[in-house]
Amino acid sequence: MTLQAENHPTPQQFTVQLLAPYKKYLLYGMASLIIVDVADIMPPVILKYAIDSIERGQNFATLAWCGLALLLTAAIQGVFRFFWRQFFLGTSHNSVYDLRKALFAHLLKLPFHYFSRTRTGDIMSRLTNDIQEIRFMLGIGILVVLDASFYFLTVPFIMLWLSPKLTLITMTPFIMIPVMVVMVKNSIHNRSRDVQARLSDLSSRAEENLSGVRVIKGFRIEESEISRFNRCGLEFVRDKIKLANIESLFHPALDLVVAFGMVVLLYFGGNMVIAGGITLGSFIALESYMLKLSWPMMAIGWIINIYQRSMASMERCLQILREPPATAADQQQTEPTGTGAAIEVSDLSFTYPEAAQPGLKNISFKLGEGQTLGITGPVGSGKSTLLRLLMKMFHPGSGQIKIGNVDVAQIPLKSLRELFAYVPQETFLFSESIRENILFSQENKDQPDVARSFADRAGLGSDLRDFPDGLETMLGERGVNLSGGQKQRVSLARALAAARPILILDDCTSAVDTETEQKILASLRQNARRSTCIIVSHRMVSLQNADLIIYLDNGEIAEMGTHQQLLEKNGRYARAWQRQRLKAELEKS
Amino acid sequence: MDDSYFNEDDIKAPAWDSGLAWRMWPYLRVWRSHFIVAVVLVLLGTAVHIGLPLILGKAVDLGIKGKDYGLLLHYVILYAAGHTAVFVLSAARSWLLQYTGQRVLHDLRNALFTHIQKLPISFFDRTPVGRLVTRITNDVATLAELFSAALINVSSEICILFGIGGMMLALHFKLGLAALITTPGLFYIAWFLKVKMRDAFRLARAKLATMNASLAENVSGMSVIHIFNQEPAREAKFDQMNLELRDAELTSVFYNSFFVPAVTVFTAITLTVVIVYGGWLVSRNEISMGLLITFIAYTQAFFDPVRQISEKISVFQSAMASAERVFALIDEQPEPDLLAGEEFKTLHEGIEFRNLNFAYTPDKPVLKGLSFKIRKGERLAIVGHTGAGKTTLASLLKRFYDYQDGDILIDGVDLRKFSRTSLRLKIGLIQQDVNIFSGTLLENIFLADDRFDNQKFDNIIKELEMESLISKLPEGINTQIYERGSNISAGQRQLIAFSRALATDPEILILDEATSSVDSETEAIIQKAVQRLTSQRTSLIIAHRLSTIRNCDRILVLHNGRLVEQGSHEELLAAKGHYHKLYELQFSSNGGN
Ligand SMILES: Nc1ncnc2c1ncn2[C@@H]1O[C@H](COP(=O)(O)OP(=O)(O)OP(=O)(O)O)[C@@H](O)[C@H]1O
Ligand SMILES: Nc1ncnc2c1ncn2[C@@H]1O[C@H](COP(=O)(O)OP(=O)(O)OP(=O)(O)O)[C@@H](O)[C@H]1O
Ligand SMILES: [Mg+2]
Ligand SMILES: [Mg+2]
Repeated sequence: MTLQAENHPTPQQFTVQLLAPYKKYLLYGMASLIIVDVADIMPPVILKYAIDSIERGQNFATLAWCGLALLLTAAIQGVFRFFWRQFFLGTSHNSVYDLRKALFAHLLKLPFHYFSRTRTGDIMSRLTNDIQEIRFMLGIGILVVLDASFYFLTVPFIMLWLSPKLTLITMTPFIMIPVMVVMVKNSIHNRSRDVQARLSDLSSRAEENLSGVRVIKGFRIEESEISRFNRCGLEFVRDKIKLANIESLFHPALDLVVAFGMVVLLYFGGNMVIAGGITLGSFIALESYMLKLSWPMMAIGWIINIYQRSMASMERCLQILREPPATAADQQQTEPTGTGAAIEVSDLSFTYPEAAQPGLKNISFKLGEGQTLGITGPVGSGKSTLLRLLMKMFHPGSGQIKIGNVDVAQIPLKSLRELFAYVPQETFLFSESIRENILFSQENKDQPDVARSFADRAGLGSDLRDFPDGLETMLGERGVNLSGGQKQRVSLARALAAARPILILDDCTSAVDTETEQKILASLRQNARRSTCIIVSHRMVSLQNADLIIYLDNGEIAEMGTHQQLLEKNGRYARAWQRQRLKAELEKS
Repeated sequence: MDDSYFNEDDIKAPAWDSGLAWRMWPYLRVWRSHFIVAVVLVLLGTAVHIGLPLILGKAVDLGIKGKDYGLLLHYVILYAAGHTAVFVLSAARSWLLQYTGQRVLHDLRNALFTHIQKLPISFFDRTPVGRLVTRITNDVATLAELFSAALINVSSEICILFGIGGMMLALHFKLGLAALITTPGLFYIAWFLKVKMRDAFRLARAKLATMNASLAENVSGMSVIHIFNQEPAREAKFDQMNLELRDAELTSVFYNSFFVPAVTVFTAITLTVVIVYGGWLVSRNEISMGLLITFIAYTQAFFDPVRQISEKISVFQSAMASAERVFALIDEQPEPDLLAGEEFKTLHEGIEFRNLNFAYTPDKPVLKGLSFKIRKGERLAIVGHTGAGKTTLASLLKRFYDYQDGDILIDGVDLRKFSRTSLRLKIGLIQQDVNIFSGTLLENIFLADDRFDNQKFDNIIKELEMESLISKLPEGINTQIYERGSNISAGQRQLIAFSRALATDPEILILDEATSSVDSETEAIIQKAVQRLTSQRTSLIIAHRLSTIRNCDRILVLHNGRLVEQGSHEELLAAKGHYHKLYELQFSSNGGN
């Protein structure tokens, strides 16, 4: 399955792509449909014979034959109607399965930045509500299109055969149809797009509210949240009604067109029967066929409606698929030739998209393999940003980062990421067992002993012993049933278990007590002999053994050196250190 | 996948349709006048609809066969008028139903959302957000289809059914009976398939929720997935759920596919019966040709609504499956009335914890016989190992959870006597896990529109020295912050959370690791600000960094849910216990050099 939107297909082209793998089923479905429809146009003719024969006072046998013929057509129809549904509706479910799969696979490729600006609820809405609209089109929609076109392509001819003149007169009101279609087409599309956007808003609101429920409750703002949600809902209703305004006129109007055809038929046909131009049987058959046309006529309205709605939704799904993947920036797919995990950053500058000021300015440093880098600095000084650039979650504005003597720009994203184990500043755990979380990067998640050893190294051992289910404890969303420090340590254990050449810790001991922190640091120091380590921390003690310490301020390196050098420099680092030391002294005295 | 937290808890309620329908009644009742009008429109439409073949039959018998041009024209005009009336009636009905359906849906969605807002925190601990979002949006929408499209239309179709059936019996009882003889068989098939379909839809709804929950989680944790190169594994997992969803849907299609064919066959059987028996009657001159034609038209008209109804059965069943889920959520026990109880205004003496026991799950006690006092105006620090129960203690004060055993007394009065609203407003808690919403800085600090206060805002910004933070944002205080604060730094998020708590003027302030992600310079600023802003207030400071608590009057050391030491900094150091050890580790050992 290679559903891609790189060459910017239109929603229509993409729909074709989506259906392509199921051509076979569509063909089967179409064959069933033709059989059904052929069987379905028979009964009026049979009826004509039956009535004409009754009129002529013929014997009972003809009637019985007619009855049998009716039953036969019905049996054929019954069987193939079953198949047609299976094929068409089945295909629609299969296609949206593919679409959902493609969307998710694409989401997995999108860069960090996409997720920071896109609301989770919006993505959810596109993968459910929009896909629902598309499925409607692909299933019932296609079925109805084919069915209706069959009737349009056959019934008028049979009618012409029965009575050309009468048929032509009867059909005159149908000229209205194309006019009406052109009138409503665009407004359905646009209004449906608005409705889907509102639906996204609703689901985003709900999602954000529910994720922040502790704040909502803690600050007692339930009522204000409810009224915000209510406002969102009202907007949705308003847009939905706008759509309903068109729909509820459009469909009956199409019916009316057919009805006028029947009126015309009754008048002229009646006159012709009286005048002896056609038989009563033909007249009744024509009347039946007109009735048969009323369904495809209704179908037109319906299809146009569904089609426009689904194309609006398809466009919204394509918006996701058109986002360039993070790997799009890979300049080459060859593996880097460099080795080791030495890091060299030269003259690196970076500004976040949409930001007013640069996040990083002229950063340069060198870190040998197996060395430890400590980074500290005030809030918002760019520490996490620097880490993100190292891991290529963003691309540097200017300057260069080299790892193992290769410019990271040359390293394909996937191989670059094989180099890093990362403990993010904001812990994110999956709602799986602790074991599965720790062995997140492992193929084989069924190694409790391995998981336990990493848990121990992250200082989580004693907590696990307290849990009745130990490693198998199931976590709630984001690990809600763990304490702050426990979460952080699971995240640390996950990074340690990944065993990558470069370990990045972004303030990963902020929520643990000193004793546990010391244990963790000691175990890291052991580990650090093998990996290059970057530690960001606000606690100076965690950094003092680092081979190089950077004090960042406002995106710039304010000071850089070893702990000793920085103390001698007597600058900001030294002052910060003193402040933490001083407290200690003060408290001691 | 069997153990996953995301697997939907089965809803096995007997789910009587009538019971569910009854539960929807309150939402429909509000709009009953709309529905009554709709029903009137439906009835009128039905009457006209039934009348049309009659006119046609008359036109054939009297006009055409009677060779009376004038009479024919007369019926033609009547026929045209009838169709025009159908147009007007059905446009009006369709609009009204869409409108009312959307309003009912809106009410129901609001009711659901409002109800969810009242559920206790423990509910959210065990329910993934994605599942709830699915119920609020998808399940409610499915249910709404019932109101806007199915319910009234089906009742109109049932009216037509009865009207035509009655008409046929009235016109010619025996022929009518013969025409209707097959219907019970159809009902039996419908009932059988209905049960099957309901099961399939239930499964499909559950799978949709599961998939949606997993989607939400994966999207939120995308950076972790990326960094650990776990895209293939995640994709495979998602694919599994996606497949299960598809298969459940395909099962419903399978059963759904039986209906319409069955109707086709029954139509043909009936038509045959009518033609053969009716033809025989005509030949014996018992009925007129016109009547037979009317009967044929009626037979076709009779099965049209049958087919429509059978198409709707799937809508009905999926709506019922959704209704079960929506009402199961509404049946969740909410927190007791947030306003019930005395209002907590000011603290006079202090808070006392007396022999408090608490456990989230019965097999794992978290707080064990905890007793201590906080005096009014005191700054009390709580330190202790991670997982000791500090956050839990704060949650209990906010009444996020109910404790099982022991007492918390405020000025000697049981905490539970006070209304939750007043407690939650007067006890300001800065949570360990910061949650920032999308919106501006101002919105994030005051949270509710009616609490905006620019004066206070300026004051807080000044006290916390947040000007530099604001100046960095592209549009200052009006900058849009993204969901979860993903475009600001962790420390900045914490500062915002801090200002949030200060903005409510709390009587008691609890700082749960409120400065864990900020540098010590900023921390000093915050501490000064807190001191000024809450000088007369009582505060409870939970921290791991001992420098954070150095200004506290008293320190409690919590270990494994028990209080192991308490006293002032000096006392605790002199006691050479737990605190002394922590202290040594943090300040003296220089990180184990
Ligand atoms: N919602 C919950 N459901 C079940 N267990 C929980 C829940 N929240 C916390 N726990 C458990 O209760 C214990 C105490 O947790 P708590 O969050 O109170 O610790 P803490 O002292 O705040 O720790 P930290 O310093 O790491 O934040 C922990 O073992 C934790 O796993
Ligand atoms: N996605 C983003 N888009 C725009 N600006 C951002 C984004 N992420 C961070 N910033 C801004 O960039 C600056 C640096 O942020 P960063 O997260 O690197 O700080 P930090 O040094 O890690 O701070 P902290 O100690 O609080 O974690 C901040 O001013 C922040 O507001
Ligand atoms: Mg940071
Ligand atoms: Mg805690």
